[in-house]
Amino acid sequence: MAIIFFVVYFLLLMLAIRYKTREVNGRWWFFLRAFFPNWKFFHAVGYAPRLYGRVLNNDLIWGPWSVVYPRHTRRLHHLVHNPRVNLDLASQNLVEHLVADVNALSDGQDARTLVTYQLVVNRMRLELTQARTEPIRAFEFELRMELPSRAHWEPQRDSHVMLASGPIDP
Amino acid sequence: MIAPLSLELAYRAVQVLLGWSLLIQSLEFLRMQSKLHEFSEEGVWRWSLQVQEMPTRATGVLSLLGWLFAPSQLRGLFLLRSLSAVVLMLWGSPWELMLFLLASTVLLLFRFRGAFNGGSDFMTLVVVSGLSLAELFTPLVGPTLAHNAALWYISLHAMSSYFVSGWVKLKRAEWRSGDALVIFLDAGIYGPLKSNSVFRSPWVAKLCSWSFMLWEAVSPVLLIGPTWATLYCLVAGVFHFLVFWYFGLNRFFWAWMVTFPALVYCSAGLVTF
Repeated sequence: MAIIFFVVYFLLLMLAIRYKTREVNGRWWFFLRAFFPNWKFFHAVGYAPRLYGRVLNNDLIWGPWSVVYPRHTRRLHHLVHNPRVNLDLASQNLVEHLVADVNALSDGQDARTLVTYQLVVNRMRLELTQARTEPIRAFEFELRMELPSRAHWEPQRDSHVMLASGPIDP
Repeated sequence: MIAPLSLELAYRAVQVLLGWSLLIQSLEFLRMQSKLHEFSEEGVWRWSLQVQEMPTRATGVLSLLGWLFAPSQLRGLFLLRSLSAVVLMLWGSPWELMLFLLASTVLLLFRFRGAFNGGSDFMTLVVVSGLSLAELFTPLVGPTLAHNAALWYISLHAMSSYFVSGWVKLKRAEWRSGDALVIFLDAGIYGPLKSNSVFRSPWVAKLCSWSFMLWEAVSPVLLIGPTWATLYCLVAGVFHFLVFWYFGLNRFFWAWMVTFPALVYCSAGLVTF
C-alpha cells in the first residue's frame, strides 16, 4: 500500500515538472512561499541581472562603469560561519526580485516606487561610496540583463539595459 | 548491510543537527546585525522601506513588527534563537521551544521578504514545522506516531527536493550538454573558474552534470533500505560540500544534513509505513 502511495506521489511530481503549472501570485503567498517550496535550483540558463555603477566626482566628471557583483575568497571556515557571503547572496537575490518586480509593473508605473528598487539603491550607495576616500557628488546605476556564455563570464556581449537609475545623491 | 536506525536515535539526531544548523544561521545573523549593520536604517535591509510591501495594513500588526524588528529587539531575537538552538541540541525539543522556533522563523520570513537564503530557509522551515507538529501532537497520539510522522514528513520533502531538482535539469538542453554547469560555476561567489579548470573540458562538464542530475532524479531509490539510504546520503554530503565550495552556500549544507537521519530511518520503514 505504501509503495503505491510513493509511486503515485513521484508520478504526480513528474507530471508537475513536465507540464507548466499555474503561477500563484499575491503578497501573502510571496511572504509565505517557504511553506510551499518548489525545489528548483539553478535549473535554467538565461539572461542574468547584473548591476553596473559609476560615481560623479567633485570635478563633475563621471567615472567608468563597473560591475557590482559579489566575489569572495574561499575559506574552509565559511562552512560554519559565512555572514558576508550569505549577505551578498541575499543581495543578489534582491536584484533578481527587482527584475521580477520591474517585469510586473503596470503601464506608466515608476520603478522608483518599488521597494526592491529602493533596497537596491541602498546597496549601491554602500557599494559605491563606502570604500571611497575622495568625496563624490552623485552615483548612478544600471540594471543590465546579460546572457552568459560558456566561453567567458565577463565581459558580456549579449546584454541590454533593463533599468537606469539616473543620478542619485550619495 | 547497514542496520536500521531506531526511531529514538533518528529523531534525536534530527534535533541535534537542526540545533546546530539554527545556531550557525543565528550567529551569522547576529554578525550581520552587529558588525555589518545591514538591517539598521543605515544598511540595505531597512524595515522602514520593507514595511511598505507587507501584505497587511493592520496598524496593530505593523506596529508590533516595527517594534520586533528594531535593532535591539532583532538582536534579542537572534540571541534567543541561538540559545534555543543550544537547548535543542543538548536537551531536545519541548513543544514550547519548537513553537518559539517556528514563530520566530515565520517572523524572519516577513523580515526578509519571504526568505533570506532561499532553499536553506525552506528546508529549515520544513524541519522546524515537522518537529513542532510532532511535539504538539505527542500528548494526543503518543510519541511513536508523532515522531514517525515528523520523520516521514521531513524525508518526503528531502527526497522531493532532490527528485525535482534533478528532473528539471534533465529537461534542459544546457544541462544535458554540460554548458549550464560551467556557466553557473563561473557566476559563483568564489568564481569565476580558472581558465585551465578541469570543468572547462566539455566531457568533464557533461559527465559531472549527468552524474549528479541522475543521482538527484533517482532519489526515491533510497527507500529500498538503510544501506542504499546511507550511500545516498554520503554522496549527498559530498554534493552539498561541493555546492558550498563553489557557491558559498554553507547553510544549504547544514539544512540538508539535518534530513539525513530521517532519510536513513524511513528507508527501513517503508514496509511498515
